[in-house]
Amino acid sequence: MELEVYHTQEVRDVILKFPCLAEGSDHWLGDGFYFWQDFEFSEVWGFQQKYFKKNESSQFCIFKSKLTFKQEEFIDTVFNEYDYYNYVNNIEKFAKIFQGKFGKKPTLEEFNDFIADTNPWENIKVIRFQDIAGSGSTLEVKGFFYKKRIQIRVNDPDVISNFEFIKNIVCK
Amino acid sequence: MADWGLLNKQFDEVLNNFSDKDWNNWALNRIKNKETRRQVMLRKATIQQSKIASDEVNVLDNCSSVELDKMGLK
Repeated sequence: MELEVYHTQEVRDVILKFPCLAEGSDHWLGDGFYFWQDFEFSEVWGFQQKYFKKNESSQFCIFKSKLTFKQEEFIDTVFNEYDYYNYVNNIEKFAKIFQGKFGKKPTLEEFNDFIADTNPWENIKVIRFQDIAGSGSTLEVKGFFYKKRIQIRVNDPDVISNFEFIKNIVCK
Repeated sequence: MADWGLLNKQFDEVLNNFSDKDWNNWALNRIKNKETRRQVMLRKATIQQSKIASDEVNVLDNCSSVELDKMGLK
């Protein structure tokens, strides 16, 4: 199975040859390589990060990449109903047990760390998921969020190839 | 498609076999493990990046002079 995806990054002195590893506590699916399924959202996200947040650089870059993996290495919570409900069930199963042990709901970071530490889904290399819709600037009907803002998280760099720079955008 | 029969089984096994001691150890080592994972991932990324670069060189090595000319690389 193959997907063509997009990766947004700040401008650097050297053009990236490989996507950056996203790290930190606020990534939906934990540390990994994150991509946008659709070009328009890779652009929107760049503007949100670099323009509206008034970061040092007023530029960002968009890269294109190819992901190659087997069907059984992929959880598709966006378009596959079966994957979606199984995924949700597992998250809530974990949350319930965690709450029983620690007396509080797990944080996003704790959930992701548990999955990464115990590695129950060792075969899974790619997860497709839906991000929060955002500002709605990509919508042709005002206030109607008919487009999914889709991200793909890769946890095995071997899946990534054909990573290439496609566009530098200057925020005015 | 993901094999949820297997994924659910593996997840249940982990959750059901996690003792109180395991939970405490996990919570204690969580941050340290995160850094180890990060290092492994970055190493794997570097290897994959080198592999891609090497594949690109091989493609160029196997190109005829006509093809290289077409790509503006001759």
